[in-house]
Amino acid sequence: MITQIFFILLAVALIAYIYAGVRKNQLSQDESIFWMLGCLVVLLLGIWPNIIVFLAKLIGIDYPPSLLFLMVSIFIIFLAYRNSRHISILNEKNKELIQIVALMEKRIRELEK
Amino acid sequence: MRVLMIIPAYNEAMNIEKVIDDIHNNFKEADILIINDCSQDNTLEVIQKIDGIDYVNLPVNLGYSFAVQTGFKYAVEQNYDYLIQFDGDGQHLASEAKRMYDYALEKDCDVLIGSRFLEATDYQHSFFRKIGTGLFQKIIRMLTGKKISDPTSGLQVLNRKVFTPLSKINNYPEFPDANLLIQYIFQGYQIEEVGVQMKSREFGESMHSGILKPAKYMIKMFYYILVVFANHLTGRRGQKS
Repeated sequence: MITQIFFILLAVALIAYIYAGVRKNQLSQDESIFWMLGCLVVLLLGIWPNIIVFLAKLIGIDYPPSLLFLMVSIFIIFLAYRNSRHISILNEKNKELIQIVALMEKRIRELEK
Repeated sequence: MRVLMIIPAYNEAMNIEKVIDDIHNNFKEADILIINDCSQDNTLEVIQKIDGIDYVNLPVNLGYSFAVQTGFKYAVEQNYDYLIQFDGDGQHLASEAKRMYDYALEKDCDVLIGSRFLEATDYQHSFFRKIGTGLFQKIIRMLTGKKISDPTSGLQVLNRKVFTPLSKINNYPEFPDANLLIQYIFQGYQIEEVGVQMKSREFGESMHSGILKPAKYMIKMFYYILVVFANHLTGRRGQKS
């Protein structure tokens, strides 16, 4: 019982933390969806820990906690990949802006002559 | 026909003046655009002192290929028909660029590469450079059936058909060498080579010096070529136009 309460409280705290980020515009709504989903999973598992045992049996994993670790790894790797993709896009856009700024600076310089 | 020479310059205060003089003396009909890639030395002041020269000053350092791409954007904006990539370090000779331009006009080719290997030159190659060049020659031949003797040459003439799509976002790679040549061939561009003389650089350091950098370059280039080939197989044109 006490562990259950602990994990439910933990999940609520995480949700509050992420929501605070969205509220202060430090994290976009779009970005926060995935983290919120992660928190929701923590909450659900906090309320019904047996879900993991059930799922492990369903897939055929003998040791249920390893399923938990698998889920967490997939989640983190997915987010890391997503970040990597975003960085690539941002880099390209940033480069484009720098080039255009430089070309415009040349134009302004010539107009001011 | 209007032709623009784009000269990317990063810390080339010692070389750039000579390069410009050379072009003014030996290739008068070409317009010049210097792209100062946020040099740490006084390259900018040196450029500003030269009379009547067009230059673009990048506010942050983008690296060689993206500096070149800035020149592509300018050439598109100003409606140039041909563009010559020319290094700011004094390796390339304006007389050779002029010869290449005349040849490109005469043969009406889309891409013309100034090759150091078609004829014997006094250009000095490092050990890694030689191995790399040989390897990329073979890869290009294997994938496209075309023989390109100098896949890493920075002296190239491009026509508008080629540089217009390259000027756009996502269309120009960080290292535009063998991968880009393979892409040109897949896209059906007319590529030719002429033998040119080049000088070894006088001042400053090459961007491919050391051991780690060339190794990194090789790995990246292999991967880029693989991607270009995969794009070709899956029917994706290398670029949006």
